[in-house]
Amino acid sequence: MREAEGQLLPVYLLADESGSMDEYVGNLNAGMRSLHMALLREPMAAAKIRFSVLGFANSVTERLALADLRDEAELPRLSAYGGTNYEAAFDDLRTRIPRDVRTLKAQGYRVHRPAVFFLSDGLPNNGGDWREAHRRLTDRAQTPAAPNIVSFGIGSVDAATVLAVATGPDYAYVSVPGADLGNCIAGFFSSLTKSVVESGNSMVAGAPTLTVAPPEGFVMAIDEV
Amino acid sequence: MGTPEQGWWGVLLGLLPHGGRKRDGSAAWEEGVWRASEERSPQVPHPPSHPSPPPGREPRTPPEDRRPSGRGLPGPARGERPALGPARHPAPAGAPTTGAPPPGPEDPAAWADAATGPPEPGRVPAPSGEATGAPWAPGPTGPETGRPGPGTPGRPGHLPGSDGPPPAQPATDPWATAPGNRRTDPGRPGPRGDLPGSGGPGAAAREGLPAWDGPAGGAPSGAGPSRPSGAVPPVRPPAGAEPWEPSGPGRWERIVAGRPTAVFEAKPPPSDPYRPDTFCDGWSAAGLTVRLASVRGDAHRHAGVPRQDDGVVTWHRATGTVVFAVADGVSSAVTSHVGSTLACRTAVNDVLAQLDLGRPEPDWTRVLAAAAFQLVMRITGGRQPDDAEEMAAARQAASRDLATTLVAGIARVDGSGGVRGRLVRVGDSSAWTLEDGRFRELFADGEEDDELISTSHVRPLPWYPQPAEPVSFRLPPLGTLLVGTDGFGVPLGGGTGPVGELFRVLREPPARPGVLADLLDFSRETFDDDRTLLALWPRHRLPGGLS
Repeated sequence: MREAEGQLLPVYLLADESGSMDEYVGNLNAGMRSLHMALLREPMAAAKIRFSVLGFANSVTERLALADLRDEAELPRLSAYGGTNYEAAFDDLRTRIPRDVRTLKAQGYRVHRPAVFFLSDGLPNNGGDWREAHRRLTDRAQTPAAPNIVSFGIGSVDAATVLAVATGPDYAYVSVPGADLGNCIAGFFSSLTKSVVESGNSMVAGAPTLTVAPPEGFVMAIDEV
Repeated sequence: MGTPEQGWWGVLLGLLPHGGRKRDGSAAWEEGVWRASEERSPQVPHPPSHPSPPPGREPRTPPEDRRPSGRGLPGPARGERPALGPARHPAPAGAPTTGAPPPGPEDPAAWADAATGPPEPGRVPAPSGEATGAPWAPGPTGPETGRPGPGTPGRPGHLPGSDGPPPAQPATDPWATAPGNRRTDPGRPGPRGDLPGSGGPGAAAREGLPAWDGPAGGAPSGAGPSRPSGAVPPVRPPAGAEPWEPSGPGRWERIVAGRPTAVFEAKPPPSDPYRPDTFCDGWSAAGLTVRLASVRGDAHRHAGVPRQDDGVVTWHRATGTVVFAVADGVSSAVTSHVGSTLACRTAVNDVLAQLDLGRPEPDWTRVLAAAAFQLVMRITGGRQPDDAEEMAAARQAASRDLATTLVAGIARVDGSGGVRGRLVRVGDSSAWTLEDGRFRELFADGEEDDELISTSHVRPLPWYPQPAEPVSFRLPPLGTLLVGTDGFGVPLGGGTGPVGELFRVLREPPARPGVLADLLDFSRETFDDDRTLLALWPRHRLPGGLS
């Protein structure tokens, strides 16, 4: 057994970039900046995170891959276009995550179970059977590096769908009906930041790898089903 | 058991004469009673047999200085939670003097007995001179050569290190208190191999473990024997040694292994119970040298969380045995720092009690049961659960609040200048030998090599394996035993990187215990868990021929 270079938690932000998000792209990018600033103030936690940003619409666009946020001058900007293809998103992760884990292991790191923070504002309206792609991604027998998925639905999203995307009922949140979506996105990024920091700080101390901070302006999806 | 006031606390405080007796007044420690109880509860794994003390033999009461640190803590008032020191208190004369077997969950009374250890209440002081054996006499080859000492032969008066002031002597060095051996110069090294030896309850040959026969055929003791004072000339700093300068280069720098972690000032932990950021300990007894350190991890320093690791090391003089425990409180348990302390102290006390009874080797299942039960009693405030349901609830609460890993073990010198011992564990704390620059994990299971995803999942106390599965080790004369939590074990890995390089210096003991604490507090990015490490050597490895 070689000596580990370090201990890492790969974190993926999988953000809906479909056309319906166009009005809130500014909120998304503001949230990204606040996340970056917050992690720069938490260098010990940030050292243990490798952060990837993926936008999905009709297909998946890689905005950032396995980045040490302490080394990034600024985070990429998201945009909005096209439809909402969950199947493409989950298929991409099923290829990407095992590859990333192998890469980090080859670099000598101990890798904890990856975490995906999924944000969408509507039902999938493009692509095939996303549930089968999701099952393949999250089945640890098929995908040993299967991630934990924390799912956030805003706007006209269906609570049952948000719950089905998450890998546990505690990992599924929907925005409060009628809430301002800009505030919801801010709440999402606040939760993401806290979760990343807390997970980074606790992941080597015998605690669960992923800690999720409840977002403001959201309720548990399981309560809305 | 009688009234609630007379329950566990009665036993704990030594207030009841019946000690380890069950509700019906029968002696819980009687083999037949225990086995009958087990047969009624097939779901409880049967503990191994529990040797009784030889007929007519009374367990001994060790001198106070043989006890681990927690034993001196005052007991709590009834109704309060027990203090961090495990239960082990004297009882009135007439209390039972034989050890209770490990309890089963269905038998709270028996659990309490195990948790408090075999009846310390019944321990009686050893007759004067018995524990110390024959008066001191040099071994056949003289005090300087009586113990095999490859690599570091002793030289009387030789300076312990040549680049600084002489190291301080361990506070509990037997020579420091031996009658007729008052030092005038605390930095002066003594001769090696001149400690007296004796038999004692554990002196008979033991299966798998060496009986104490002393480096020169004498008894390990600091009480009875004496040797001429002034036999060794005082140590003076070496000529040309650099004077200590606080502004010297790197004087206060933290040791770095690879890429350092961020620099920050630690936040204070909660004030009650007091939990120092770092502690260290160290001494040499007959034939063995130990150093122990525990440091709060950077993650906990940054968050103002107490150090959740703990460790205990002590010396069972009569059998020449080092007894130790190291524990890592599980972060998700809110008061796991209390749990790790209770587990360490209870486990060590139970081993000491079993050694007092003359058992050839501790019943390790009982040791783990005692530690687990101590956690449960912390939850119930010392009150015996009334039934299995209440016991199960208390265990669940202990898992939630006090969960901790544990490694406990013993070590003795063998006749060839090496060390033999046995270890048992719950959770992912571990032990290694360091020989010829290579680290070998004693509990290695090979899982990590095959895992794509690393997990921090452990199954800690109050759960424990039944029966316990101790592992044995044999340390050669030039070897080092390391026992540590995963805060040390994870960054060490296979010991082939910078952390292994750093700790390879432990091929011989540092002159001062504080050196181990400093070493253990190395800075390495992303490795910010608490770290606890016990290191043990044959005593002849002391640097510079110090003894």
